[in-house]
Amino acid sequence: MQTSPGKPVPSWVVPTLVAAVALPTFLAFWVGGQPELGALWAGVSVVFGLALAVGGRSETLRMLRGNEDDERTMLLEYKATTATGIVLIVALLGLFLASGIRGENGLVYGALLLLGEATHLVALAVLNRKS
Amino acid sequence: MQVSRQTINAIETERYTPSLPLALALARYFQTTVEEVFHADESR
Repeated sequence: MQTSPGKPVPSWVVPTLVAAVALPTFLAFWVGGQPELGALWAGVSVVFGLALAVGGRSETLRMLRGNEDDERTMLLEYKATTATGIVLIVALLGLFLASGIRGENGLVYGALLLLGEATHLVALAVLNRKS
Repeated sequence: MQVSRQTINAIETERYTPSLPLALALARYFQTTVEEVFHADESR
């Protein structure tokens, strides 16, 4: 009886992807005329990727790397993703309100909030149809 | 069964309630019934 939700990814994939964000990060800031800041943010990505790669065998790190994959870890991943979404929405709402107080239009934060809500709505509709 | 040792431990210590397929798989592994392996907590 198959109870596993999917095939675990090899342990090097997620750290490599995280570290790979460094290159476009550096290029974006370099194009914008701030190569030092780009190098700093790229360094953060590389350090995080390295920490994931060599960070030991704790179950939390294995879940972050995506190579610990069964129904319980999948549930934990859902809950962690939900918590992440809530934190981001609250932070965006705070920034949106703060921009209103500062007399700005809050377009970026408002658009991101609308994107989040639209994504939630579409995901619920699609998942509801499929279940 | 393809679940981790930590998940089995979480089930044993009642920190995680397994899905129905996993509960059935565990019962079949021990050649018994789901009711023999798991006890429903009515208060939850």
